[in-house]
Amino acid sequence: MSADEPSSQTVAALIALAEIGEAINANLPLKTILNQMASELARLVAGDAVSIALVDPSRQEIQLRACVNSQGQSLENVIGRTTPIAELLTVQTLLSSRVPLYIPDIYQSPLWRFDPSKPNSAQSFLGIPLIVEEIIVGLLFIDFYETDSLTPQTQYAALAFARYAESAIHNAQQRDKLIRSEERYRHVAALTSDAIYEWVPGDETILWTNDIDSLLHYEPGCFPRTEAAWIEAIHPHDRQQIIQARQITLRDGNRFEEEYRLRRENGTYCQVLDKAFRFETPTPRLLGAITDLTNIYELTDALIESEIRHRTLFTHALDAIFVIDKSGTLLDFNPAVESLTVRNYAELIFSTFHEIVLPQDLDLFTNAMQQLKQHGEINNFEIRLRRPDGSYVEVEVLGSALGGDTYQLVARDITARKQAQILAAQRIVELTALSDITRATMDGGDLVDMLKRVLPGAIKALELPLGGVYLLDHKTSLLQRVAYVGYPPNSDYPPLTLPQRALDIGQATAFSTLVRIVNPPMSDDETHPKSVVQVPIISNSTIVGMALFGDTKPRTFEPTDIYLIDIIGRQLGIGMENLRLLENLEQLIEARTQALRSTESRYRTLIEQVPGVVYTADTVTSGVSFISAGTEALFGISPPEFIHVDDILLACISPEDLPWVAELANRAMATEEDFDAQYGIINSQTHKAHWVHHRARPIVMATGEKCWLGLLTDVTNMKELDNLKNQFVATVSHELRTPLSAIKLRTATLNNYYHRLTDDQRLEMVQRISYQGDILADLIEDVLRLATLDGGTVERQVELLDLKDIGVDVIEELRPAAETAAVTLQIRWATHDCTIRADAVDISRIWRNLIGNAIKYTPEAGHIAIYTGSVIIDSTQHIISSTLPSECITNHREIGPGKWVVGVVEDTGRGISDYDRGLIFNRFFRGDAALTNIPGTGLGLSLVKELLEDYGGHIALNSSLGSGSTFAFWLPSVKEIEE
Amino acid sequence: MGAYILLVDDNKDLTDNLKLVLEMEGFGVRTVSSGAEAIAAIREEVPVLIVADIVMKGVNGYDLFQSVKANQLTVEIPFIFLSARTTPDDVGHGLKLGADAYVTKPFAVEELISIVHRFVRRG
Repeated sequence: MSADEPSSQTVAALIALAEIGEAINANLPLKTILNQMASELARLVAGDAVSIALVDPSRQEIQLRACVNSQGQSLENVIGRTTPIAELLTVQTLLSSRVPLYIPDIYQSPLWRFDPSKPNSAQSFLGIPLIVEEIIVGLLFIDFYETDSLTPQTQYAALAFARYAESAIHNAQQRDKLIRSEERYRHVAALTSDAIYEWVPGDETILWTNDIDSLLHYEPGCFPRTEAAWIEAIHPHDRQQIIQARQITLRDGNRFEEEYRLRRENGTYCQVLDKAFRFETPTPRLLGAITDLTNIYELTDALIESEIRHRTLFTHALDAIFVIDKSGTLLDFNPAVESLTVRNYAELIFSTFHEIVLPQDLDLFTNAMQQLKQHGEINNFEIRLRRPDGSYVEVEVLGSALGGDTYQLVARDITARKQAQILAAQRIVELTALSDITRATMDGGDLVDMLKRVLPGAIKALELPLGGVYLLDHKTSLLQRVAYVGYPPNSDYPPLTLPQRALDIGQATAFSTLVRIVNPPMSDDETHPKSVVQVPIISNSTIVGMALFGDTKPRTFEPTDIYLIDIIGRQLGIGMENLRLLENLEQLIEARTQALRSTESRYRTLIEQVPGVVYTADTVTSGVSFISAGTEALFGISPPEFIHVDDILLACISPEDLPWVAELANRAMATEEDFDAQYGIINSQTHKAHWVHHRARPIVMATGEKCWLGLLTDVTNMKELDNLKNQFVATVSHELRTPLSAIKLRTATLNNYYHRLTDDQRLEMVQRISYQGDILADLIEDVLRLATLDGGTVERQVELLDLKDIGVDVIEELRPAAETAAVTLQIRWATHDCTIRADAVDISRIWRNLIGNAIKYTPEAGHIAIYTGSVIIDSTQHIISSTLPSECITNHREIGPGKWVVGVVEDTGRGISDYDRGLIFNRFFRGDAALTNIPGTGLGLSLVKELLEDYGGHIALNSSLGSGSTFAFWLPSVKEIEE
Repeated sequence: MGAYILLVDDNKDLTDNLKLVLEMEGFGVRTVSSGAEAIAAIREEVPVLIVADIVMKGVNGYDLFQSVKANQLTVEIPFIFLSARTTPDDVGHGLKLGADAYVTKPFAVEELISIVHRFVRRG
């Protein structure tokens, strides 16, 4: 305890208090004030230690904010230290009693808990609670180094200091409250210009700054600078009091501070604060300043409002709000700051912002603060704040100047956002890469190309620099490298081949049954991966290959990596499956195309070659949608007419066939079963009858459309041929039966009536049987001859023959028939040479068929002329010599040059129509004869023609309906042959 | 000449022989070799039975049949086709026309005789 005189102690205390008051008035930071306060008090209680702590009620702890030892040194190392209230019985007592506590001898006090680890020289203790607005905000402690040291003076000084500390804290709080608001700062800034005056008593003139004019709404310099004008402007109610107070100040030297009303130029009053001091030199005078309180009062309301708003925002803001001074000391902050920094109020208050900034970001923060000081604000700089556990939080900071060298920093935790951004970016990369992979695997084409396309996307998604794809060669059981990314070309990793068992090597991860983390080769080569992970490529349930990814740096594979690799492996498998399917599909398509092409060509061929018409028609309306060319020849109707005119086909069908064809067609339409019918139609142009074979079936086109595909074939010729064949069978049958029945009748007669017959009759019977047998044999010979001609196996006995001799024999043979038919045979044999080289059987058949026909087709009393001729035709197709009538030579140009022997059979029969002339040499053709029951096989003329052609000969016909026919057969003359 | 059977066939060989057989069986027989001749013969004297071939030049068997059936005087005369046309269609056609019998060639002479007996009493 100091041994100073009480009076001097008191003076020193007063001086110290005055200094502290100045410090408070100077608006120094609280920490500075408290420190100064502790120093002053320590000096007063010389030899003892003084400390001031702030109470954090929310955390139930106290923090040392100022500590000065007995030598007056500030103990910076303990400033900021916190102690839980629960550990300090003295603090608990102070907080609960709210009155000063003096412990004369701490070793005797149950309240003092001595900590041997903290050597403490204190013997007695004084603690004073610092109460602001009924709340204990801090504690003032004095550790005395002697027991029972508290003197009344010391007690008084300590209490006085405590009051000062309270007001300092209060002031600091109030000031902070004020300066925290940006609004307030602006208003305060607007108040800088008070009207300053200097008044010398007795002197009429008063010196005013021009601010008085604006204060009282006068034009500049217009407010009279006289005492009278000033006194007169003071509100009558205030005037007397002001005059008296001013007199007192002049007389006593007291500070003059009065509020009164001054009249403005327009007669209204404003409330002013007039603060003045008396100066003695050179003469007593008052120097004062008049402040317009009107605005201040208005402002106060505004400020209160603003403050409330600000405070509300401040407290409840989710963002951390720091108020700092220019050195970065935290003057105030909202609760969000505590949770953001994971520090309590006591730790934070008066600490500096620099302390919580991550050291790496200090430069950043310093720069930001400079900008903030320069420009009054700074937008969105990102900085990392340290947390006590060593972690950090990333914040985005918005700074603004509040005035009075204080600044507000609003910090927003962007860790989550940052992470989200990183995740999102990663996610985008992954998704993009995966979609690239998917697209690459969907594109088809070459397998290796696909893998090469996929790989870059895969390593991008995995953020791994190296990747390779292998395909398993089942023959060699080797994995062949088909694609790789990230390896320098000269690197021997990944190897070109790997054994199949490489698939099983490595540690399967818990996150995927497929992905394996493998030991990479131990190598100093930088291009060799230090971490490798692989995944099999499974396609169609078979391992077809492997993808391998690596990093040149050692790294751990996170579950997300494994998951991604798994996906990529599967995707590759899907890609290969797709390729395989695509390939198959392409093969299928190729095969289908080929099939279609061949079908198409078959179809085209069919359309082009079949003597018919192909069409498609609607299954419902039966409307024709397509019909090939060739309709004109058959129907006399053009294809467009078929398409545009409904049921035009029905109109062509011959009347006798129409009913059943229509019924059959309707049934086919209803049941959609194949339609197959042959019917007659009438060509609408030529009116000629045709036979049509009409087949149709419902088909489904490639387009899915259903339609009838139909084929209309002209079977007129076939039908005719068919008819001819049928006729032939009937005719041959008839022709055979006729002689056969005669023979049979004769033998039966001989058998049954033998004894009743005369010998002559019996003989005739036998002769007739023989004759009929010859006819029968002849007929059979005709049929067989044609058959052998067809088969090309004719055995001939070719010899020199006279055409006339053969003719004579045949004429004798046929004479009975001519007699029966009542036709006259006129024989006009020429004298020229008629030698030919041929088989007599053939030549006699030619004669027989021609003469026989003539007899059959010549009516009663008709004539048949039989003769021969000789014709020479030169190389220019001109006839050099001829013994024949000109009408016999109709087609010598077709016959050609040479010397010819010609046999002619000329009748006066019905003649042959133009139409029949073209067909008469066809087999089985019998023209109208079939209808007129003229017997015959229809083979005779065709046999004649074919036999002649075998000998280099020709048959010529000159005939017209109603005027008889002339058949001339030309055979090369032997003379010609010999020449 | 009395009741006679008219045989019509362009195969004279056949008609001659058939005439011989039928006469031996006690029938009166006249033969012609065409439809036209047959019509002339019928105009001359109505036969008790006509046996006609079908396939003949000029007036064929069918024509002859139509002609006979078209005449009130001859419509009742039994008419037998004797033809080498032997398909069921041919036979059917002949019978449908109204022929009393259709005998196909070659035929058994006994069969023909028995058919003739059905229509003609022995003269």
